[in-house]
Amino acid sequence: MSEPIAISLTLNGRALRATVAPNRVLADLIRQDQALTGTKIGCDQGTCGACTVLVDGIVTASCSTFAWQVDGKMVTTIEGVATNGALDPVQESFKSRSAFQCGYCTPGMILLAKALLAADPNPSRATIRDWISANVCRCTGYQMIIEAVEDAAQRVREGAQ
Amino acid sequence: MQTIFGSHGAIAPFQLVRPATINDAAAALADGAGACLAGGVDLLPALRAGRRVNRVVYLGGIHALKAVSRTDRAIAIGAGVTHHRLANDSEIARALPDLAGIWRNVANVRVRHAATIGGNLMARNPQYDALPALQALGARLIFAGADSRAQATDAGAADWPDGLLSAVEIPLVERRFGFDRSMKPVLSLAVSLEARDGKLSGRAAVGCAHQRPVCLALDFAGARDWGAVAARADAIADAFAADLAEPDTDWIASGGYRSTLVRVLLARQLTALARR
Repeated sequence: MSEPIAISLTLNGRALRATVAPNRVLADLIRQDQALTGTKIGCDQGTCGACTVLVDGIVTASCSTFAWQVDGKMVTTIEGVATNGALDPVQESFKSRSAFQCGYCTPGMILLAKALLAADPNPSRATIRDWISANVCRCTGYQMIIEAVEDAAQRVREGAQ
Repeated sequence: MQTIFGSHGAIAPFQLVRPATINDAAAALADGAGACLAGGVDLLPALRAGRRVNRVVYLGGIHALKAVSRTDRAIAIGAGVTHHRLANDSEIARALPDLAGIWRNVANVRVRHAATIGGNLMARNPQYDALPALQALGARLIFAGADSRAQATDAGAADWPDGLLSAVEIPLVERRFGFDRSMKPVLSLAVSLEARDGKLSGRAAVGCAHQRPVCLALDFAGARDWGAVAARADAIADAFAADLAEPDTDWIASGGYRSTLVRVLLARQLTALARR
């Protein structure tokens, strides 16, 4: 009934070939098959954003995306954000601003912030709130997260100069 | 071996079909045993919750479903157009600037990138926004049947044809459009004020208050200019609310409260749009 599907993608800059059942979701490919457990499973319904990854730079709920849907695409998880062990500016900002409490939402929040700053390097606070509203922080630590994104935006701008 | 817990809920196996054309998709859905997958915002949670389908028909590879085309009289928006594109496409923004602006605040950024207009409509969720907006805009829905024939129906029609929703077609007229979503999930209200050959008309569609959104024509009681409409906004809203079927009473709100909101929000919208 459900023939396995051969896919190839780029996962955190590395070429990956896999064979997946049609009903296998991307989150399971990432967490179970690739042991990249930085991607979290929260609501499992595409609502909370804990499972957020970037697919061709677009924020995507990996729990609600079938693995075969990323065939030929570039997938970035939280493990792919740092470069050669050096934290990304967004990660640095989250760290310096203590923008996490339990930390469960942090990977999704950081990837969301990465996508936001790629789309808008100088976002207003309203824009940051709009984007961050896609993800849930059950510790309700939104204020620090918003401040961290503002700080990251400044770091990215300064880094680009 | 280390155990790593993955997705909590198993999705039952299914046959995957990936058609390249609208006709092939319509044929794959003709026996009623299949389910459409576009953005997956509704289907995946449903599958995870136990819904079983024999066949999933993936629509993401059908380029024709993502087309946007414009004539002098109407703009056709493919059912596979995402909310993000509806809000940001330059052709849509030129033709329907009010709608594009409003749509930038629908859902959240992740959903806007994944979810499609067609999925929003076919989910038939009374809380969703596309149907009341399209009803107020006087849109038609275009369905493709397995026999390759297209059927069109008004977005406000009670029954829709069988087949695959391929596009929505919105007439282009001199228009002022507003959509108050601030009271969701209690109520949403889409209003379109239009001028054709110097004659004023309008429609308002109420979402979240019935099993499906309800759209009625506005009675301007002979008003010949927008200033007169603004001056009579309260009376027009009262008449509209009186004609509207009794809103539902549920755990969110009473029907009486919803009726009051219809009057208040419609009067505000009429005033704001007419004075613009």
